[in-house]
Amino acid sequence: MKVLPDPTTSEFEPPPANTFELPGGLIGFANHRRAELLYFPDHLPFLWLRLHGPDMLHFVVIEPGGLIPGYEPEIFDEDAASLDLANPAEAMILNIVTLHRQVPFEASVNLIGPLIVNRRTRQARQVVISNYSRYSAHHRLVERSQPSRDALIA
Amino acid sequence: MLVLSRKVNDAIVIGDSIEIRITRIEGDLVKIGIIAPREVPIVRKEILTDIAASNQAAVHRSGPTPLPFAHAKPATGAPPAAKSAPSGHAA
Repeated sequence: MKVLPDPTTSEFEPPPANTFELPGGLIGFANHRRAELLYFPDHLPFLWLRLHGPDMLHFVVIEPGGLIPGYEPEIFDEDAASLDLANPAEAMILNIVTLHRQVPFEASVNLIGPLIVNRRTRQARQVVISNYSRYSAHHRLVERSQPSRDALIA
Repeated sequence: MLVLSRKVNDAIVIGDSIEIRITRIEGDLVKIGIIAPREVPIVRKEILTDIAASNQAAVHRSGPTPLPFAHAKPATGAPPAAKSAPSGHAA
């Protein structure tokens, strides 16, 4: 199933927090099965994913629509079936961002293992996209032709 | 771990519905054909290892922190192709 990012999803007026279930947890964090999506206005388009489990974990995530040009993730049919996705519009895609020492140029985003959230059922899982060979788990998020490092740090 | 010796065109069967066949051996490269139901995900282990490592590197254990993107903008280039070719179901 194609799960094309929807560029309009960044223009939302969300509630302060959205919750959903992650029955399998994240890859490497199998016991964190409940999630909240946190919106901080001054952090947009970045969101925070809060996972509840043995301890509380946080991840920076983005919705890739309009932010990662050329990103066209496709998911395996079995993943779409397990999430009960009837059509791509039900799927919210979240890609996890890795910050390295707070240096923007070194920030990367995982494009091969996004979280797919069924907006209708509020069930989610981290999947390996079927066209993973086109993308990287460490895609550079920020262009290098930017102002100096100090100016970029909030 | 169960370890079996197999020759080219030999196969093993796992359960009722998964068959793994050695299709070619070239030096240290072994080509494997897999027949499995579509609901059984098959991915290269290094992909899962890469994602697990990425998750570990991305986790913030002390809660949300300021982000270093005050004046940055996302890259505009298309994502570069990765090096490895995809694997998939043989059936």
